[in-house]
Amino acid sequence: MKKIINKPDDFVGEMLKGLELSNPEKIGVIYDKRIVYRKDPYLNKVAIISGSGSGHEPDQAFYVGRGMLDAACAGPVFAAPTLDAIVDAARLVDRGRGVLFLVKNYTGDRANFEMASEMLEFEGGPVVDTMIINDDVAVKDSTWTAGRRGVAGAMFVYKIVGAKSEEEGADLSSLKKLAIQVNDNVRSMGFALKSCTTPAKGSPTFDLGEDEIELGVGLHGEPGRQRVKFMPADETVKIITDAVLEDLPFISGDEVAIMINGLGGTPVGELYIAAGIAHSILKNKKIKVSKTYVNNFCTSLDMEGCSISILRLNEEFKRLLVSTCDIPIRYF
Amino acid sequence: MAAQKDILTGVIDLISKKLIEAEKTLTELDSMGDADCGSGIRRGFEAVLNASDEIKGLDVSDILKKVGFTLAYTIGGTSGAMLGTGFIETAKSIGDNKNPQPADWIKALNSALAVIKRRGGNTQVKDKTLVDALEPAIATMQALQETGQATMLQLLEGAYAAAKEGSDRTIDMIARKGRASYVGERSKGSRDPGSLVIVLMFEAALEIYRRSN
Repeated sequence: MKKIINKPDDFVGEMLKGLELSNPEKIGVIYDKRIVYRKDPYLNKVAIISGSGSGHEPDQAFYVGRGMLDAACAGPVFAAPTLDAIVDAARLVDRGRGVLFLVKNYTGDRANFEMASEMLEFEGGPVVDTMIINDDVAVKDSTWTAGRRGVAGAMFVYKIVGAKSEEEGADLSSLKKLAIQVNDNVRSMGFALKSCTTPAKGSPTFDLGEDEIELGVGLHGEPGRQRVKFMPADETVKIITDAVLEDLPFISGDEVAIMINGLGGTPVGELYIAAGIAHSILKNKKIKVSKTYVNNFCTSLDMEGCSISILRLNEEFKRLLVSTCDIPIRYF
Repeated sequence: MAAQKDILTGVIDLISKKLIEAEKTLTELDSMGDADCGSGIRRGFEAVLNASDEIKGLDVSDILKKVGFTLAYTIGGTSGAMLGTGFIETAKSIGDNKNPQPADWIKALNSALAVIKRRGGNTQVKDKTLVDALEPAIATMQALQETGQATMLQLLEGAYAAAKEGSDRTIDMIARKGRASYVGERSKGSRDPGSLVIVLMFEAALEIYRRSN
């Protein structure tokens, strides 16, 4: 394993230190709890917190800032944040109007946010509510699994809900309703060309042959639902895009935003190849793409591959998607 | 015979050592999940060992509570939530009872099991989780206890054997909860790491109990 790391156990702390030092006016970090919070003053808004294991950067520590998240709880690599960190983060960012937890659907994240919510209720506040994000069509939602996972579609939820809270001062229950509405209108699926390597294990989480790809791969390197022979980009992107489109389903006449999300180890140039293919597919189906996001948004360490998320737009989503936000991953 | 709190302190100490030692094995078994299990558990039980001086001065339920919160605060992930919940709920049930009897322990473990199952999203036996080892272990203790003939040592022997058999059964199971559930059929063929954690816990309890008698 060759990586820009020192000790595996220091991975998260050293990354957060870099984040704080690079954004001294805007980002604060509480290191022993791995809480990232915004430092600019804000009042009279519902606070928005997300949290999950680390290793998905920029998700979610790098989405803290005006107009998006008020704090993020960064767990150890691929492991949910601890309940005390969630409790402390909620107390830190609450401005008297409550806190909304945006949580991707994983057993550990749900369990820790649930324990934190119980503890806050027991200890008299702040008032919190939780919204579970589950946009991944690769996993069938059934009693046979832990349910659909939350993946890159969560970025749309953070952005739209964050803007609604920041710009329009919406209350906790309307923000939760809005989050559910975004989640109901976004679908995602990814594929891997190569497994990620966690700092703790030091070797690939799963083995993929030189001529194999994993369709529906999970954000933690958990194997996907199907392993197939490697094929040209046109074919892979079509399989993924079709799976996403069929699930909602999206139909001719819909207006959408799309996100081509790199999983961490794929060059941005390749992501744009995927974006071009996705655009052609959507155009053929008479689905209008109003906004395209191409970059690494929600990664799986150094995994090679990408995911495609599609969000069906309405006027409110459009307005809130484009409102300004000030987060560490701004480019110029 | 040693006081309960001293036996418990010894059990916690040995559990910690066994689980820290099992890091590599747990990480390998978790590669169907996400390979975070071993390092998290090691971190959690190292923190427990670091608190051992404080733990020695506590009563039974406070020892369990301290261990539970230490694990919940340091491990993270599903393991932290489930193991933390297990110890915290056991502590709540024991309450201020300084000398809990076998029946009290069984009741406490059952209440911990119930909350673990709820937190995991209504986890059941055969979902390929720690419940596959924990539930039969407690059920065996309870069945032996109800005969009115069994000693605490026999209860623990029964629990350990049942946990081990339950953990062995997870090898052929298809995961239905947790991250390994996403891979369906492919989760077959390897042991659930959470179930191994439970086996090692009962193994440690049994070893210490044998020594203390």
